[in-house]
Amino acid sequence: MPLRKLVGRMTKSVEDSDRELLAAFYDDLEGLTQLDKLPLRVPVRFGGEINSVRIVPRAGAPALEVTVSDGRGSVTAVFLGRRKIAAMSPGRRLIAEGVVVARGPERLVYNPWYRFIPR
Amino acid sequence: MGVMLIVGVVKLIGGDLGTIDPVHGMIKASKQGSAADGLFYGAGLAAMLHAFAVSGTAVTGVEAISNGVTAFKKPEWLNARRTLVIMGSVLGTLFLGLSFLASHVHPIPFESGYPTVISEVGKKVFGTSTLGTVMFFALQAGTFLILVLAANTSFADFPRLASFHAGDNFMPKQLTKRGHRLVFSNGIIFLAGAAAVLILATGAKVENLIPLYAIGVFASFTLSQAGMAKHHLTKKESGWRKGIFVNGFGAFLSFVVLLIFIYFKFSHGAWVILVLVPIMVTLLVRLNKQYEAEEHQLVDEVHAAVSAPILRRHVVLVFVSRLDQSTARAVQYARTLMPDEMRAVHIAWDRQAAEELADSWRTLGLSRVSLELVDCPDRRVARAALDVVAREVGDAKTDDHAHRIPPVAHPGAHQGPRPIDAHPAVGEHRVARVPHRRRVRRSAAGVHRPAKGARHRARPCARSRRDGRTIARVSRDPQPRVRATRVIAVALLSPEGR
Repeated sequence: MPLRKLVGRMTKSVEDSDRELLAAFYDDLEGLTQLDKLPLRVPVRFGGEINSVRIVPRAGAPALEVTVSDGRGSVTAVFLGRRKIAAMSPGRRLIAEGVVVARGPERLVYNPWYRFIPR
Repeated sequence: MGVMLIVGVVKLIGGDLGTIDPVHGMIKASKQGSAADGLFYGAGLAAMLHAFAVSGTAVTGVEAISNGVTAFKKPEWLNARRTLVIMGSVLGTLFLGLSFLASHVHPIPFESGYPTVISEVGKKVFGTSTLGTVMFFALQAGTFLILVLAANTSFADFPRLASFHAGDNFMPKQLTKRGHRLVFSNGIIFLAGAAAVLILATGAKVENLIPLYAIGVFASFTLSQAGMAKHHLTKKESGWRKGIFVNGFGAFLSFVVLLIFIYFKFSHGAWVILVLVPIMVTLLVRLNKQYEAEEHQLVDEVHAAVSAPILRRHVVLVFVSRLDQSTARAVQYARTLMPDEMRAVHIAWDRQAAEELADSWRTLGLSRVSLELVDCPDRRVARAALDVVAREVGDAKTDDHAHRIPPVAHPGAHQGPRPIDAHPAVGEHRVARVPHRRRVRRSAAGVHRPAKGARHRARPCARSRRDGRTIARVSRDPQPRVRATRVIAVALLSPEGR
């Protein structure tokens, strides 16, 4: 029913609609695995927008931890030994490929291949 | 005005008070008696009712005495009664005198509404001599001053009333705040804004404003009289029968006047009230529900919060905007808390500032503290900061949390009931900062997405999961800079304490 749809659109929270937009964006791209359905320990390709970038200065072994989300789920890419990656900043969108591992509730992928994509 | 009446009556007795000559723009007097049919009587009745209702507004303001009884000198009731009698007689004298003069002078109202009847009569009574002109302007100035004072009363009383309402959770809490002049500044500002809008919207036309005013006044009269009647009915104190008769009759009369107003002035702006009031009442009731739910939740958690075990695991988040002295000291202070995990968090709504911060973080050797840049595309810094905390706390869901806030179903949430797992301390902070619980819960629930997490570093996981509980410390201030400064103040004091 169109009216109900309209009302739903008007009353949705901003976060939900943002999430849906993001999800729709990545649904259009070919060959990506959705982040809430990531299989573990096999190479997967996924896309997402960078939510947060964390500079972790562990003594002698720094790391850059980048959390990306595609509106359905999120995964943290850990770049070991890097303090800085050019253009790796919040808000960018990227496609990445790597092996996802689980640690407790979180999904990590170490040193994935990645490519930035335009918004 | 009294002078005008006296002079007028004297002149009338002397017989040199003429009638006002018709001027262009005056309403033409209807031909009387030409058609003595039912239609005419109907119109006459309507005009009578109309006049009755309009003149009702003339006696509004009398209630100010009854509202302000407590402000009188002791004995309050006696003084209030005297004042009321004096006021009533003055009002009656002036009103009757003006009517009497008017019946002789025959002022005819102008179609545009001004000059007013008073000024017409005054001009005629005082004449056109120099003294007469001076007196005429004095009359007008006096009227003006009285009206200014009348405007003052609403500014004196509305903010106070609003603060009572806000105290009872029926209006936004901000209305209870007193400014540095000890008045309810927010209420005054709100009232002034509303008044300005009203004046602009009606073009400052008195005849447009009067219906709004009168409907408001008589609605409140009706309600207060009915309230007193109900009071008599339930309490049944001595003399309650008389009281119920008086108040019931008053309520009935006010209600009749109200109905007449609504009927006759519906197209003159009365419909605005009929539309606006239900909307506002709905909104305020909704607000009340929100506040009550929040209150309920805060109070319900007390016993659990009091008996909660000490939390062993700390996560300290320091919100930073740039790397400066205050940030550095805040970080140093945070270290003295011996947190299990400590992070500087920057809400990156300005990409360049974020880059600069990250660069200086790397070069200035704050190497043992990790820095997190959080995306904030819509620049709602406070919201983003809350989300960071919610994520930290929401993550604790996977831990073996002994004390959780019981899941509270929020009425009206589209998702239906969702549990919120937050530590009470954090919940309190967040409630204190964000007045609307529902928004908070949404943002907290939003991070319960799967595979979302932040704690995967340095700590041995098994241990932290076993006994680990997360408490996030957050600033109540949305502004990161302010937060940093505040922490510094504590940090500087602590050496003296030792």
